[in-house]
Amino acid sequence: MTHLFKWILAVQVAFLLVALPGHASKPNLPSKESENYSLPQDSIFLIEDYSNSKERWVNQDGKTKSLRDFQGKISIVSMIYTGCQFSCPLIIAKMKSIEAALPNNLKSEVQFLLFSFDPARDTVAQIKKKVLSHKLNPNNWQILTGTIKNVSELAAALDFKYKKLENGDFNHSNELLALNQDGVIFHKMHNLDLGLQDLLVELKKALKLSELGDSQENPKDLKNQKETK
Amino acid sequence: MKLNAGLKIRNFSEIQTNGKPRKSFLIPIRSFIILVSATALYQILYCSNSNAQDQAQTRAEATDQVHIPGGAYQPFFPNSKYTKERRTVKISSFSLDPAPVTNGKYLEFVKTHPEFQKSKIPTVLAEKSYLNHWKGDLELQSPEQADEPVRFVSWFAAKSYCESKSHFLPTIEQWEFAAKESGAAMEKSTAEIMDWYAKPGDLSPNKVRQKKPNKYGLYDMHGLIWEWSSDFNSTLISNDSRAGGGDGFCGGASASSRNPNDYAAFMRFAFRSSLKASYAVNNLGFRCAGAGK
Repeated sequence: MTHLFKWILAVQVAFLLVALPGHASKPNLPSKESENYSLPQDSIFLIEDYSNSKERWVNQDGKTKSLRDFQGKISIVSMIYTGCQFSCPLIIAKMKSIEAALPNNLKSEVQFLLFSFDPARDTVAQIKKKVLSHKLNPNNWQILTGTIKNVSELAAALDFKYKKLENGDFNHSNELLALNQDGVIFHKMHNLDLGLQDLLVELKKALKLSELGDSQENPKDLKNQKETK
Repeated sequence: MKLNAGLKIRNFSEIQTNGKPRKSFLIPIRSFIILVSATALYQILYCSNSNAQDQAQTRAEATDQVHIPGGAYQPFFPNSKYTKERRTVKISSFSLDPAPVTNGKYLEFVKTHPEFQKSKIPTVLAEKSYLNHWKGDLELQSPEQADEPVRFVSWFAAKSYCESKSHFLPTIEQWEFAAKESGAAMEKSTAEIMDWYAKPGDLSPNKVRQKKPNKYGLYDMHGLIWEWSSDFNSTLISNDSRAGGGDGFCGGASASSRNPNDYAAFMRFAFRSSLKASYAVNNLGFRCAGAGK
């Protein structure tokens, strides 16, 4: 019996070695060995692994960014377009007030991400201009522009509604989302008129737990475990 | 909705490094390794064929769609809540699957795309009810189910299915344009739709292509299932106060529509606006669109 096992194992290992290069070249197939499995399965960052598109985001400095590049810090996220006259400046102002409310020692733990849903007009130069005009700190703020396809996928995952109008403007949700270090949404702010209280409470929870050590842990899970004990 | 989905997939290495290896621990690991390598082997053998299969399938399906000549279309909702002008949208020609994608066809898809199988898809792409009406990853409830439309599929899954055939989900406007009827046909289909709305939602739908197709040769645009569209999340029904927002009133959104009598269309827009991309619900399936000639 043991011999049989050894033979089966040997044959299969041989097959694996021969076939792996070909296997690896097949796109988007998350295997157990791949990095996908270090993320919780409700992580927004996973959507790129399942997309048939290789298109990625570009920030104000022209750097290409995958969603996974935002892993490790808490993200305050919204979607805007730079041609937006009314609600987008409000969204940015709200995010700035969150930044201002953070204690100094925690500021580096949080990043502020604005994804554009206007790839046609939001060039790198355009979003750079926006970063400068709103005096956003480039160390923890990024405006990112993408493609029709990755905008559609991210908006779907974040549950953002948007529609391009004939005059080039957009109807869109005015929302802020807070993502934990693994890209799991832990707070949604649907109404920007409301105060920051709830968000800050959740944010502190998420930050405190990450300080305890295991940054890979999903704070929600830790919380659930504590409650059940 | 998804916040508390606590189940996490972990690296297998973590499981193994948790304790010191003991002899009794090695036996399950050995069979486990064999299982994993057998699965890998199966996938490798299968996947090496799947590209060719995909391509052959794509060629076959490409000719399978119904050509929809372009035309003018008055969207259900005007462009903005500030204007009620009758806006006309030009629709370029495109093609559309003659019938909703069936369980049988979807089963073929998950065979070649195992990452979209019931037990493997992450919750960010499809909630737990995904393919709830199937017996297992690769098993339907009954052979008859193969000809019924697939449902309990998320937007991400539906979109990936279409993309695997070099197609895409139709936009709301494309779908509505292809479904639009007039005169006697419209009255008949409205009656059918109302009938369908009145039925309990937990009955499994009939097989596809059981009724007469519409003027383009499209089957089951009404009365069988709801269908995903690529821009399902573009409907912002704002004039309704149920969220506690203020100036609207319940049902207020229908007042700003093109034709408040088109109750069926209003229901479709209301339904779409209530969806999230990871939702997998009963009676929601899809069909794919393709580029025009």
